[in-house]
Amino acid sequence: MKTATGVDEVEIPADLAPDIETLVEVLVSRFGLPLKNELLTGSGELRRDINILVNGRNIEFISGVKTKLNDGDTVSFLSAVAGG
Amino acid sequence: MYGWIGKLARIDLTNRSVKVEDLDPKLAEEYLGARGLGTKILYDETKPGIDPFSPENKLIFATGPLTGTGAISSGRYNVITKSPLTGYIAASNSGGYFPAEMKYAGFDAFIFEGKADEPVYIWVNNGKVEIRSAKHVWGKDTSETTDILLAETDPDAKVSCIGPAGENQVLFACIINDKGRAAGRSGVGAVMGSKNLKAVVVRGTGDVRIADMDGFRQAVAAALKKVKEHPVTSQGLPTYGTPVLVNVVNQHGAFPTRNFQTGVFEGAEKISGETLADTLLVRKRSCFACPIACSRPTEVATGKYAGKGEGPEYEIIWAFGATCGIDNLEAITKGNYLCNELGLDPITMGSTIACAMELYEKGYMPKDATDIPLRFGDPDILIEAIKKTAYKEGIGELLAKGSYRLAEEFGHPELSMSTKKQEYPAYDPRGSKGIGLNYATSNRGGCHVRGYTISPEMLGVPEKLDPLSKENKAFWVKAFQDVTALVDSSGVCLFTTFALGAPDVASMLEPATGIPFPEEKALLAGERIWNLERLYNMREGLTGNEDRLVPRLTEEKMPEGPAEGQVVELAEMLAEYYALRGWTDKGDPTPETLERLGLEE
Repeated sequence: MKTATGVDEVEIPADLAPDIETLVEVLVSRFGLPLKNELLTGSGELRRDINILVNGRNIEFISGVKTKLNDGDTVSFLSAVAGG
Repeated sequence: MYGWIGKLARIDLTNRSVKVEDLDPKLAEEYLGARGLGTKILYDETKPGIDPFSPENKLIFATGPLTGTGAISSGRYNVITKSPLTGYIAASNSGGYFPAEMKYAGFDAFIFEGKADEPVYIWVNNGKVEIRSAKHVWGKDTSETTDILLAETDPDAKVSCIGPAGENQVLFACIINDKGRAAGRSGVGAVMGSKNLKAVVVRGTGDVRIADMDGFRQAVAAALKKVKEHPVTSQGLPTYGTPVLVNVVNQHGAFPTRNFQTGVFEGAEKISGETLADTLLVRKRSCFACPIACSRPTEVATGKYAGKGEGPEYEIIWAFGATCGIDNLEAITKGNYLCNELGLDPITMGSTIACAMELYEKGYMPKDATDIPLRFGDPDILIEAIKKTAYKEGIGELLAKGSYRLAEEFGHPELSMSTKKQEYPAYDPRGSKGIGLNYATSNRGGCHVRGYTISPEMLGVPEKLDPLSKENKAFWVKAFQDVTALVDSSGVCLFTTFALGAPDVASMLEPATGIPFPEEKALLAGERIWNLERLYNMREGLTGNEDRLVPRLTEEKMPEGPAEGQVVELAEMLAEYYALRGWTDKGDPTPETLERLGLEE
């Protein structure tokens, strides 16, 4: 994703992205097709091999893409890349 | 035989004699090879209670039936012995090219017995086994030893050897093959040193016979397709190697920092896999027949930490980084090079230094007990401590015993982050409960690879599990442990299991060996091997009381980060685990379980 966007991190105001679903839309809109291919399947759903953490907790165990976001939250996008 | 060569070499170092024996096909079918076969041989041929450094201990190098066949990532062997660090079973796994060469040289396994009266090395050349003097390489590091021995045997041979740490019987000395691959944990290198055995050099131009070549090719092609399509094995590991885990684990708040005092390291970004790839990485490298190519040759070009070699892997970045409070990637990398050259397990080394740092800073270790000030965060101390440990100089004499004996010496064994006296690796189980259960129950003590539940808990592979939940973790830990035992005994690399499962391994075993291996039979073999290791340990005095974690992990709440407030609820997970294993509530395999597995006495 760093290759797709050219950045390690980006700040988005919480009022622009009140939840994960909206945040993904905002990011894809900003960074275009390269990021879209990394995050979404052909049918527009989040790829299963992407883990999204909000303050270190996987959204799978919060409210999925409906997980609410607040100012100061850290959202991490992690590919299932390695083990060891 | 097919898959297996069908031959073992028994090398009596005391009497300097060599006997070539046939491999029992029944044993091979039940225990496969490598970890399983080696454990069975050790169990049958040694008595309980022996000193690991005595001539009565045996050191076994064992390949698997798939080693050297060209199956996916089929370049593995195991070193099996009684561990001087834990007093229990040691089975250390390594890749590279040495294992396949063992098979081509005509052997499934070497069994080293007794003790040579002076340093020796073994030269195995297409079926012929010679015991040669190693006086001229005793004292040399692993790279120099390899170069000298190749020059006097065959430049195309492969070498597995110890460095000064193994010669000096540091309790966690390792065995290095191909100049950078390690049979790392549990002190297998120290046992090799205790036998005055410096190296094993192998050269072979033989074949491994395959029973059903068409079937084998199809199975391997299908497995290769899966490996090439999975993001972990086709992108992550080849591109970044294991170091990419630094940010992943730190983001989960489970990156053990300053001897597991917390799970978030403020210097993580400076020592991340991305930083390593941008600065020190030279290229990637693969082991025999492996498309994953996770190996990371690096170079520190200038400065006081200059050097080159393989690694550091994620575990070493943690061991010389976060747990010692160090954020200097060059120093960490230098520490890695030193461990490869001196022949030391970096996980135990780093964790022991971290333990020493906490003992020192808290005043439990008097300042005059050490000739170097052991402060968290000091990269120069790290380098000094590693060198002193290999030669047992100054504080190195105590460090060489590992963290448990070190901490016990100063009255605080609870500050050794270990179970069964082997140190935990780079995941704080308060942030990943399943790995905690695995640490507590692993037959060789603190270990992540025995049952890598990090995969579902942090990577979401094969599915996403909540790392902070204890629910169902016993099921997953047992499943991972049994499959790992199967894979470790087949000769294939564990990293394939991000993409492959037991059915894939079984599908390669069957056409390779010509023996029916349905998935259930393959998994049963893995479960059998796990239980045999348990029986070995019980015969050495292990009870369920040692299936535990240190109080820091079960009683001290994680102080910060995503896992803040968490402890490991081990007792509940353990009860469920024992029941799933078919063991009593004290952790003993029941007679019914032993009978089911063919392990009844």
